[in-house]
Amino acid sequence: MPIASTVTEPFPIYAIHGRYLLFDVDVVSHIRKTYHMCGCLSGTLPQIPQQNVFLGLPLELMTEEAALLVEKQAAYIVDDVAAHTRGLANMSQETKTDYLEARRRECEKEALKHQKEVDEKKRQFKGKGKQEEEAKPEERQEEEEKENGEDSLFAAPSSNESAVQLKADSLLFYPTATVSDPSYHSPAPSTSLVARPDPNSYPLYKHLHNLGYFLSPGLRFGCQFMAYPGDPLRFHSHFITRGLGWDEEIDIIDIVGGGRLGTGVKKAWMFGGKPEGDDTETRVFCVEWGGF
Amino acid sequence: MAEPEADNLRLAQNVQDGDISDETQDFRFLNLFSKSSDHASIPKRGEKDFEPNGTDLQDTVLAESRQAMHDALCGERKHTSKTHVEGIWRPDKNMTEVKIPRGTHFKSLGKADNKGVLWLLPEETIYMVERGNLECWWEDGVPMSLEGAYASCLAGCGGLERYQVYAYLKRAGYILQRAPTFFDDDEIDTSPRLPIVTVRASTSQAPGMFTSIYNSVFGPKALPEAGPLVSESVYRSYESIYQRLSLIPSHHPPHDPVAINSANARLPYRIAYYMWKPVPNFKKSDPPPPDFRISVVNAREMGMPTLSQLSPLFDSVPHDATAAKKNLFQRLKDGYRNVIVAVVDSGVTSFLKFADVGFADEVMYKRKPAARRGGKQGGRGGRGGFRGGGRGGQGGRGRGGR
Repeated sequence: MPIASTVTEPFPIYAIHGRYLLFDVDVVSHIRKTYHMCGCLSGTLPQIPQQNVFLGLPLELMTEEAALLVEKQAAYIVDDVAAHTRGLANMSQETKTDYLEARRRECEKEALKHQKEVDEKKRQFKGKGKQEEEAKPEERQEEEEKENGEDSLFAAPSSNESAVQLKADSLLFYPTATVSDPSYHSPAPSTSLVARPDPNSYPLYKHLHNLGYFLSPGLRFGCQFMAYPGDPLRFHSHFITRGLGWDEEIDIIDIVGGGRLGTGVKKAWMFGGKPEGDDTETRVFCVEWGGF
Repeated sequence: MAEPEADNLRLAQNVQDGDISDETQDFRFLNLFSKSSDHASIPKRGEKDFEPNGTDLQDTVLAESRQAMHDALCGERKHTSKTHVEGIWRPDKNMTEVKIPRGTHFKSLGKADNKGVLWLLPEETIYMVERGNLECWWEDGVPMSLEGAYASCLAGCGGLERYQVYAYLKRAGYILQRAPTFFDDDEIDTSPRLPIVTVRASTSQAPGMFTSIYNSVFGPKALPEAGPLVSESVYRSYESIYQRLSLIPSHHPPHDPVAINSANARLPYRIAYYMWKPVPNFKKSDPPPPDFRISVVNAREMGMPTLSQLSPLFDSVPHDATAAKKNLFQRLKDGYRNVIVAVVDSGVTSFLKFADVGFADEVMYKRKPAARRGGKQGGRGGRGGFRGGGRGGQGGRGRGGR
């Protein structure tokens, strides 16, 4: 499926139990491309469910990402639990019947398609068998021709049937949609839910994001954010960062620890903060373990 | 050009270190992964570039990667009528009712009541829906989307972090069940407790009554305030001298089973899940003692656990009866009680093991020198004395060299 070229903004960010999630694959690709935000895929990928290297939807956004998207008026936050409760309660009997009917038809269409594919494969397989047999001595030819005739007699009506009607024992597929259907879910912007990122580290996040860095959670490298010069799909990170309050004390041992850690993983350890006030600039510093 | 060379060197080194899921993986490799029958072709690390250089080649490769990721995320969750399982989410019970459970998952998932109805916990529900193995319906008669499943069930899972850890370990193949201490619902035990009972001077054992009487009569005299540590007296072994040298109080975990008390372990430092290694004949109704105990912590809300958080956590897990039989270094790693703490930072999970270890219990100067080094004993004997009792192996050798 091609990546959708446009996503209507603002798009909804679903807040469930205090965490910010995205379920729409187009939005996921969109924010990656347009806002260089990656979030963190945390769901099971249905194609290969027993591994943790490649994960699927939903995508969890960091609080900083959610806050910045809202600030840029690209997104709004939806109280998704309330949206579902409200939507389901307001769903009329008619809409429900229509929705279920449409779903059933979709299921059948899928099953028919699958059935056709299977039939097609069977036919190809039979055809192959015949070709091989043709290579055999001529004495069997006559017999075979008879068989062929019979075959086509039987094959034709059965394939016709399958095109029109579903067999009683045919394989049905039960799909689970990723995103909730608008018929029972209308994501209205929440008035009460606001993403509140840590005031000490948010300025650093915003600063690096403005400079074009991709930022992701830094737990694995013992920092707050990892800063990538480009999409983490293709590039290694350059900085492991930590945001501090402007007047916050920093232990010398943290500087040594950070410097050694950064150098040890071939990155630079960065810390930064922003003085109070609206027109101030965020300043960052890098520490490298010289090892003279 | 020096740079590319340096780059290659870095890449070559990168290949060796660490866990593959540490870094964002290139989704183009997913194709290799899913098509091959054996999982031998998990992609290697170090396929990434240093920084964007504005070339078309880089842009094309990146676009391909993104496309592959997009395609992978479009993968449909579905199952066929042969494996169809239907459930109804019952919000008043916070569980999903499954009428006809089918498939191997139910060997370790869910709990049947006496009417033969199988009930799935909220995390089990989301996990099954997310895999595409369960069609879950709302009571209103509408099938849930994945989003709907999260919206309805997540509150009952104890938060997103717990679900993420649950699903991560399930995907890795482990069997999980909720621990009885899943919720923070029991009363805090307010009965007076000795503040820190496990710390004492690092003698090899807790002094019993007879020992102390014996020592007061026949043992070395009490230390004079101004030293020396090893006063003039009769010492019949090095051991008694080393014992006098060990001044610093240290932690001694219980070596024998102690009463389990989970009441004072508070969230998040409480055991959330019991975990078993996958075994073919696991009985979910009568599980063996768990192989691991998992506690889940949000990295953004909690720091490293303090002693007052860890102690109750250890008190809530049973004593490891096999600890005494383990070899020294394994025992130092696993301790007498241990807990695995899963730390989650916005979807990224790391696992840490906290163990109740008695370093001071492993009296190194009592250890016999390793047999294979016997031949060198004489030659090294003198050195043993220099290094002192802290490294018991050497101390032993010192004696051997007499």
